[in-house]
Amino acid sequence: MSEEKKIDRRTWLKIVGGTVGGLVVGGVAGYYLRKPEVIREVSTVTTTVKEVTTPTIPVTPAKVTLTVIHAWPGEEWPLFEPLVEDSKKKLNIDIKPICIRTPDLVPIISSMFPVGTTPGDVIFTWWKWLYTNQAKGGHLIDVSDLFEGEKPYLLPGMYERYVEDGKAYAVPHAGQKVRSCLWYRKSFFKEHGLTLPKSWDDFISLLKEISEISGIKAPIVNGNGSWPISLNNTLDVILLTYGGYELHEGLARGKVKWTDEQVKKVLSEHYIPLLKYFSEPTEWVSAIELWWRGDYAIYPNGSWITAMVKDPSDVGLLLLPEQKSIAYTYDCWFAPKYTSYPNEAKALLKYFLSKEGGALQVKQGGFLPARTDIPVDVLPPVDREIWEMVKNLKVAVSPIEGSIGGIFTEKLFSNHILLWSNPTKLDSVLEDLQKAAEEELKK
Amino acid sequence: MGITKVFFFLPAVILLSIFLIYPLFQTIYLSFTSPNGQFIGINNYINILSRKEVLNLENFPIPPLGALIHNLLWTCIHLPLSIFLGLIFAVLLRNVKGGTIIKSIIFTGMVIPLIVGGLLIRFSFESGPGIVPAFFQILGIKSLSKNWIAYPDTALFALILGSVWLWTGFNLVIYSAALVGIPKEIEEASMVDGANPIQRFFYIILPLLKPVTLTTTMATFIFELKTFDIVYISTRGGPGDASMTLALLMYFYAFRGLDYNSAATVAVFLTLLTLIPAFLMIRQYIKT
Repeated sequence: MSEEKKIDRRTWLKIVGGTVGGLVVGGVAGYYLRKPEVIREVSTVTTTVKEVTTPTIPVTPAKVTLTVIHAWPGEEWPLFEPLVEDSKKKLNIDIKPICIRTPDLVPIISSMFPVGTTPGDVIFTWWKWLYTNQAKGGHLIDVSDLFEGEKPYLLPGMYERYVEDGKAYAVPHAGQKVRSCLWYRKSFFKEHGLTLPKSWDDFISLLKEISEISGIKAPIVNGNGSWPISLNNTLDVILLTYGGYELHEGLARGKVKWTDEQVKKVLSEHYIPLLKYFSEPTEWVSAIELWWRGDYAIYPNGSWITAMVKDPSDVGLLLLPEQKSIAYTYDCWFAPKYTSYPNEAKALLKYFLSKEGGALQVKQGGFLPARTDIPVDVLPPVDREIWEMVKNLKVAVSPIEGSIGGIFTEKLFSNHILLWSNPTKLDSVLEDLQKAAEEELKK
Repeated sequence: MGITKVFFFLPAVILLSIFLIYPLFQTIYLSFTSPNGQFIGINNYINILSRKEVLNLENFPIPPLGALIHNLLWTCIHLPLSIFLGLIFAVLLRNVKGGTIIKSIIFTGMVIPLIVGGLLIRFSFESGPGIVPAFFQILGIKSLSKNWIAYPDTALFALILGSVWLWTGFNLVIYSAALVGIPKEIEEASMVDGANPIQRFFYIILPLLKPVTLTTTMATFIFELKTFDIVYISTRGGPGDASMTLALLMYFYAFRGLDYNSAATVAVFLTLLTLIPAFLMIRQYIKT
């Protein structure tokens, strides 16, 4: 048996007394020797500092570090990086950039926002529905005041895109991309004596003419990735051109039914007849190469395509003659209420909205201005040519695919391909879309 | 001794409670409630089963037939095919020179991540780069020399056939290992008795592989019910839900529709579907 050494009462008292005494002494010493408290609000730093430090010691407020969630990985990052560096200098902040693309952002913020936390102070998204849901859920900071004095300089329709119940909770990104349009190769058209259409009938004649060119696989390439990009874009173009801005907006905001007679009419007269000119779904990046070598003549895609071809000056934008509005990407920034730095976050949003932010972004190439007051000579020649064609067109509220979101978007993707393979399914597809839209909107 | 046992047992219990038992019960609870937290009995289950993306027999037998039927079709085609191929390859290649290399090649499908597998399936069945449409074009079968994943009548079958390739390697390896365990004396004795190779396969090898077959069947069945990655990356359940599966639908409800109650309902339903055969097979296994 081992002899157990017992701690006597006196020793216990020494231990407890020593611990309590140490804590008291440490607490008092810590209170008097503590560093001045840093207050995050820059505007209140001076007064707070005066209370805890002597006036003779100048105190520089700590630089705030904003976590900025963007969506430009790899090769796309250098195009956005200059804005990060410039805003850091101008706003006297640090920025911790994190790349989380919008689809990956959905599960993160949908679990963090409801419990009052956020993965970033300033967040980028390209989906209207994600922004709308979070704005309606009361998770975003109202930034309506940032638009004061700026509205007259924004593209027509640009401000309205971000208004929910009379307030704006997001600002457009400094540089925008045209999302839904048709592209052609100038040299191909020239080689085959093709001319741009002046009417819908002209357009159909052009497609027929292209079909007859030797070696052509289909007049329009059906770019497809994890989503049917070409069919999505064409749907926007057709709805905006032959249904008009209001019809497109009504669908995007869920105020017009997909089963509405006008929608059916526009689609059956202008969308369905086009489908037979589309190729089979083809992986959208490799489709660029096929389009470029002449397998196809027209590629419905976004303006980023100019950066993905061998000779950007050979790419032409094919606007339908009756087209008065156009769908841009919804690219925008918002600040969640749960940021620790609301003022700095708003300052950064203001920068993205500003003329100088816009000019710097479009200067990098591949972006178009969100504003009309940016000098045109800032744009690289390829972008300038596109800009001249689209600057007077009204900006659609959102591409349809990102408008209502959720299950609706998945249904749209899935039904596009179905409709292409079987155009007689239009009625059932529209019913399916309407049902999905209603389910999403009632949430 | 009792306290020591508890001491070692407790961390596992705590971890399992936090990361398994609590989420499991929370999921079951969610499946019986509305988005605002009200208890609504089995309404979610009725609602889910009445949706066209889960059960849709309007177009029978051409997909879309609903995720439930698609999973069933997947099981009916994939399960026998992948087990049969795994077994046949294992038996045929066991005494062949270079058999290990061939087995390794077949097993590649199992080694690659399913996301990559999904991409490979997609490209294999697409017209242009796809080997399958090209093969049928050479044979002159026009109806199949097309982009399989773009048409509702072929999309699901493209994924099922592709997944057979991905999963056969698993069954092959399990059967190969089991074949090594069969005593040579038994086979030799049957040869002395005059049994031919086919008789040896059916009367000696197959019965001795029964426990392994139960294991592979169960593992394959669970894989089929959980199928997500391949479908997500190849077709996203399209065209027009023609290749939708329950696991993908659950993901869409949860992370696209942010409808956690419906997602939880599908999850519980899927778990029940997995549990029933798993239970039957385990019982059979114990008996055996």
